[in-house]
Amino acid sequence: MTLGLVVTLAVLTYASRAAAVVLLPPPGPRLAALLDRMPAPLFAGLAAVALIEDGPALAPVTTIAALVGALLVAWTRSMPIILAGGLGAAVIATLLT
Amino acid sequence: MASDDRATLVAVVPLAAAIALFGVVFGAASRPVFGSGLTLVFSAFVFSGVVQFTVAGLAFGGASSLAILATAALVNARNLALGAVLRPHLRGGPARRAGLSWFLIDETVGLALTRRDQAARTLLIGGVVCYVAWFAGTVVGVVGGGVVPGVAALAAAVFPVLFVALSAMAATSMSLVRRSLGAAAVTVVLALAWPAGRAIAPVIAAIVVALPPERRANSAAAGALHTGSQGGGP
Repeated sequence: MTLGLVVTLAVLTYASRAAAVVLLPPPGPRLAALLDRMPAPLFAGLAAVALIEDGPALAPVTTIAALVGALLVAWTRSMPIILAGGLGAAVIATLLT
Repeated sequence: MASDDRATLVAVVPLAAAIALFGVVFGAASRPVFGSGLTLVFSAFVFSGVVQFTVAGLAFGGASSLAILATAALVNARNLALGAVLRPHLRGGPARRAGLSWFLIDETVGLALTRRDQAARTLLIGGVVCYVAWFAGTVVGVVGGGVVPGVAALAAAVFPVLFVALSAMAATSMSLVRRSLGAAAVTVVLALAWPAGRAIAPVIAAIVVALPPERRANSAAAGALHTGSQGGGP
């Protein structure tokens, strides 16, 4: 690993961030509607992918408990409540295992 | 400070705390692989947990530079989707958007999409706080890596909870709730079937479940609801 490789990775990462934000024109109505439907599923997918670890293997019990705890109170759509639910469940799982 | 900015800062605190925890884990895990200086440069210039952890794992395993760059390109592909989702809510010229895109990470995009009328400012404030948290966490990890075992377990549990919260906040209709559950299921199946593509699996799943258009009845109901809320009364 060299400084040059780190700089190349930085350029690659920034380019991937800027590409759509800078180069894409404002989307038409159909694409805008599609993009409008993506955030909630995208974040649900990012949560779900934490269930699977390298191997592939199932995530530790603490992580699964945190997800279940968060999902139980997700209907509130409140960040503090969902955080409390998830982390509370993780703490309980840690104490029990 | 405007009350909207204060609200953004309050909302970004839990995200930044989680990011700082992961920064600590990254700093402690990477120092033996890259050395202290390069680890700090990595966090300062790349600012991407998923890329940095992936690269550290590959470098530790002795992967070539080409393999590292190819994998990083694959992992970064999800930024294209995040940018496309955010683009309609960012006003201003290309230079302004280019500056803002430095702060485009999963968490800040999620936050910005909860405040779509002020997406650019939310991305900027959230991004600065998350960047500082990530770099400060890396410094703590590099300097005092002994705390890492407990921190790593907590950080692993915090991130999925944050994403559940961001998904719940973005799911403003039953249709979006159903699509979110579908995306979660598709992501798990993809991650199991294609472990190398785990980082991009949520993007593929989100596109798949977002493709079917809203049914007419749902759209009409949503339209009526929207009109009602604009009316501001029962």
